[in-house]
Amino acid sequence: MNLNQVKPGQSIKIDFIPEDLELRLFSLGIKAGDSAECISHSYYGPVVLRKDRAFNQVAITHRFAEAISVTVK
Amino acid sequence: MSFIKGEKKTIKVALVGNPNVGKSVVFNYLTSSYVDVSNYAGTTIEVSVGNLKLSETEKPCSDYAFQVIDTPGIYSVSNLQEEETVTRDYILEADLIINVVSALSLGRDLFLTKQLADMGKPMLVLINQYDEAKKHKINVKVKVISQALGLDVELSSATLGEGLEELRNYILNFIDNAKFKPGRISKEVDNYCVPYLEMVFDRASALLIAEADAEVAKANDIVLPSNATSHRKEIYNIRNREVDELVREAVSEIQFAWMDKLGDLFLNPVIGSLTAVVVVYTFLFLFLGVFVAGTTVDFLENNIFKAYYEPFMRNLVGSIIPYDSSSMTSTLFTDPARALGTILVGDYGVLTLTITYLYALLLPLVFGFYLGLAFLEDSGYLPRLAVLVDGVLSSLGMNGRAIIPLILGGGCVTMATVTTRLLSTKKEKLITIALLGLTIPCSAQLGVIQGLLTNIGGFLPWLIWGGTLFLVFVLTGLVLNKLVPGECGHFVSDIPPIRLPIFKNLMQKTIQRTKVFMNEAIPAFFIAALVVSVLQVTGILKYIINWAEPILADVLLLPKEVTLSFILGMIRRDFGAFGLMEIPLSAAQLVTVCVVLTLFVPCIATVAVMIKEKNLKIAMGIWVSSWILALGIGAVLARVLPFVL
Ligand SMILES: Nc1nc2c(ncn2[C@@H]2O[C@H](COP(=O)(O)OP(=O)(O)OP(=O)(O)O)[C@@H](O)[C@H]2O)c(=O)[nH]1
Ligand SMILES: [Mg+2]
Repeated sequence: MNLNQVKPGQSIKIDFIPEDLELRLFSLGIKAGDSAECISHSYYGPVVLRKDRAFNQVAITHRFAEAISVTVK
Repeated sequence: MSFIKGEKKTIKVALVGNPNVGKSVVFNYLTSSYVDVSNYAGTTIEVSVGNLKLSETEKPCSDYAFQVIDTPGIYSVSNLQEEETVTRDYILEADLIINVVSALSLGRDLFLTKQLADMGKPMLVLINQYDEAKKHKINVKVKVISQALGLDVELSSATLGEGLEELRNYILNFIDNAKFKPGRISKEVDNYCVPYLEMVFDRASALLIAEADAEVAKANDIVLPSNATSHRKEIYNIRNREVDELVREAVSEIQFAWMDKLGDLFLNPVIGSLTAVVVVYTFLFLFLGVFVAGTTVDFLENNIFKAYYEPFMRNLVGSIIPYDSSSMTSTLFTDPARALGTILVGDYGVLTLTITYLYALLLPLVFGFYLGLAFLEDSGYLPRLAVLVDGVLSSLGMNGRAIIPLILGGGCVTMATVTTRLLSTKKEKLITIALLGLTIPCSAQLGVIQGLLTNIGGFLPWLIWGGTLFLVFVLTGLVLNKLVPGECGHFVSDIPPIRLPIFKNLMQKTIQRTKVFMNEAIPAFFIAALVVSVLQVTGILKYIINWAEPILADVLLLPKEVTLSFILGMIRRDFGAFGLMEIPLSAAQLVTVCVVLTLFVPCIATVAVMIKEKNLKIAMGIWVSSWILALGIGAVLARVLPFVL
């Protein structure tokens, strides 16, 4: 499934990030293999994630979230 | 280090780190200055340079001058966006790097630390926001981190002033510090640098080239190999693995507090949207409209300036030379003394009306707006609002981040136009600048308009004014999104924690910004008042008003006195709104004129900044469009509103 299908409160593992987004998400501390919790997600809005053991949250726009594959834990 | 014979040697100390970790707070302490501090990523957009503060006893002893540099936040030194490359250049030139990281986000921040260490630069790691880490029961093993990095590591809570004097001493002792050593360079990463080390001047550049930084490679006449990006990926993976291991070992689990839960609620689409409505209503209508523009300005204007100050000035000047209070006839040649008196203390007098406007109206309005804005900025609410509005702004060719310049525009459109630099693509910058120029009123104008609208009859006029602007905003955005070529940027952003704003920072920021605004406004106000008074005493004003009357009467159904507001509005939009306070208008006319003046041409300073940030063609395009838009919409409102109000 892709990150856009994740609902608030769900814990996920990030399986794949396309190459063109990799660098950008990387700098915010998000990479394939990370576990995270979905904090908020509105219909056309960004998905907000918090990585496990991390305090800071990262918002990822709808368009990008669609290209990121995840599994719900 | 720069060595100039006979002079002190300058040591350059660069504060470098991820966004929102507290670099600017540290800078302000070290240099006793004030640069903007806010709770969102990307507050600092330009490098600031200051001298390290020294006590009286330290001054004569030191052979060195210490220059401290505050840089915009970055996540990585290689492959930067165009605006970020300045930061890289300062890093390459620095003698000492203070890498500021947040104790709350070491897992993210230490990536940059590792990269800086791999560059082989002299460096101290400052783990800041330690007070917040303690509140969240995060335990940081400083020794473990220090050993792993091979660097000195200090803790600080910059906003409480903790750990900063130690930092200052560390910098002062930097030269004599015999134990200083470069950080541990990762062996695995080093292998990738080796081929370049012989070709370039320093290790830092070799590393950046190994990380496929095209610009650094080009500067050193090196052609990147075809596998450069896969090398970068491998280096990043090594670094990440090392950071993950270190954080697991040195940083304990987090306990979330109620403030964090509140922050999460603001992100909830339903609760967040309701909160946004309450925030806008409270801030614009209750605080700025009713309290500041209504009660406070009323009191200052009527009970102090108009009751005591203006009569005093009129008596004073009137005892020396005669004056006319509201004459429109030409007296300049027949009675020059009377003309001078009128310029000084007449209806638009430089010493009467101008002073009242400046200090009884403009000052409280601008101060009020900036205080409210500072509160929103420092609480961490704005980035959450950005998340909520991202969907809507995306359909207008921008993204959630644009909400920051758009809201700052409510303070001063000129300043906000500069802030659009934090947006990533040309298209969204252009659309945001256009919308700022066309539809966003500045604080002074906003305040006066809020006051006028509240005075005539509560919420409905306010709603019509706000609703019209909102509609124009959305429609213009939709059209521009279609017309402007190029990509709009995508919203990927850190969301900072919700924080209780610190009173001292709120005040510092508010006073600083109010000063900048007033310094620009005061001379402009005097010049405008002088111009109008001169037009009045030469009789030219009468001609202009007579000439413009049919346009205003036929198109906007407004009386001729309003012409003056329009003339003033072209110089600064807030003048236009001020002029209105003196003219008797019906509710429908008032709302019409408030809308027209908000949509009306951006002020001269904004046009200048638009030319600087974009170009003359775009600035003129926006200027002309605002005429058409303002008069067109005004004409419609003038005909519809009498049935509603
Ligand atoms: N509680 C607490 N808050 C801090 C501390 N240091 C900074 N802050 C807050 O963190 C936020 C960011 O501070 P800035 O100094 O603007 O951060 P910066 O690193 O300069 O950020 P950019 O300019 O965006 O790169 C502000 O809200 C500060 O008040 C600290 O030690 N403790
Ligand atoms: Mg800063």
